[in-house]
Amino acid sequence: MWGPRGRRARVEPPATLERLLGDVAHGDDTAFEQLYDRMAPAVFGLVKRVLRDPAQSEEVTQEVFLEVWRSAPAYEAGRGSPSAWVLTMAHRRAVDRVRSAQASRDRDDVAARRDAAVPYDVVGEEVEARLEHEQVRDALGSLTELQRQAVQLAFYGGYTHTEVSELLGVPLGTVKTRIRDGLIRLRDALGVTT
Amino acid sequence: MSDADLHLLSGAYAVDALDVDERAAFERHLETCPTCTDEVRELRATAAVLGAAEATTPPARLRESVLAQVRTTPQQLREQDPSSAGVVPLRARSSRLLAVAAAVLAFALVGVATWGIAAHQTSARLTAQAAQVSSVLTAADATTSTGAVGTGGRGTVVTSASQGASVFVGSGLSEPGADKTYQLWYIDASGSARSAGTFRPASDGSVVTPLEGEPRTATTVGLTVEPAGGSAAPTTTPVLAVSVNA
Repeated sequence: MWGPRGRRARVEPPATLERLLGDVAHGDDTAFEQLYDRMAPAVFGLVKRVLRDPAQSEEVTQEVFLEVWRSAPAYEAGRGSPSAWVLTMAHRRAVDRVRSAQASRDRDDVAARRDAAVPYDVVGEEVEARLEHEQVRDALGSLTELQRQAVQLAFYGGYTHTEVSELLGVPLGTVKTRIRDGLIRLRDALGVTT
Repeated sequence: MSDADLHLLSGAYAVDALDVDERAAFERHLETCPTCTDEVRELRATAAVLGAAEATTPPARLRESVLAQVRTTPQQLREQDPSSAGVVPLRARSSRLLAVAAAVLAFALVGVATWGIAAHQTSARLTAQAAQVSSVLTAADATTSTGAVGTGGRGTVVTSASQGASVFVGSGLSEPGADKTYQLWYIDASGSARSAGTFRPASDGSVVTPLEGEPRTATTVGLTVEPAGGSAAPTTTPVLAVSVNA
């Protein structure tokens, strides 16, 4: 039945994110739909982790995907994987939004943001990627306390390194190196390759 | 700021912890520093893993809204790519399967959530299954293979090497018959087939189901219609075969 002489349906090749993004770059809106379906949970989850407000998170997620669509022709594979490219865009937009919102509210929720940024052992009910979440939690656990706090405040809290330095009461130079050392250690613990 | 100081900003830059002026200064530095460019690429990939671990299903209305806007939004021009000149955009493939998958999955999760304690064990199994499906669909390395099903509808196999699992997503599938079932198969290069489980589509012809067993050396996933309960080996002509190992 499956031998060379059996009648077989046409075999079609799998599509990677790389290939989908390449098709999106040529204006293929069907490929864009597939790219959206594959990347939207990660984009929305990350944005929501930083912004916490679901309505604003939807707005920013929408902005991110419009930017993906518009700038797909400029994507260069040498500068990172498609998912890193999209998530970098998502994180930057979330951080920019939290900072501008914060400026307009006179930074009145600094304490709330700090508290939301730090705990990592609590997994939100809605988080889908539990296995990845556990791996990240374990990797964060392998950092020194200061590295972990600095990375978490910056990445999940959206704080600038100057703010992290104030929050933790350590010099700015120390914060810079701790964020960098912490990320390098996470890279190794998570086996990230590019 | 000296170059040595700038090098140390790679981490803060990768997690967007620089203010606007510092960000601009560091980006100018990146243009002339391949070491920092490489480091930033790696650290951003690391940050992306932290981000992906937060994956959460977005509301369905967001999808409709994004796709509607994209239809009226022009793209940037491609930079210096003569090969793309005059190329007509590809619009051939028509797959809304993953949308269907997301909808079916959301429905399954709602079902699980409202099931109640009486069906606790079934519920736990379905939750585990839904979580597995979801982690495959959202995996960064997931690949999608899709094809038309001979008896109607379309089938897609989403495979993630990192998750070690595949999910079958079908839409518009015909009812297989009262005493029949659909059966999935892992096929290796020699043509030998191993069962990857049976399923019946929902009344609207949709299905999202994890493939059972391990892909091992399978190069193709096939679909046949078999007598209820499934067969040990395929007994009918396949209605779909898609390549799963590029």
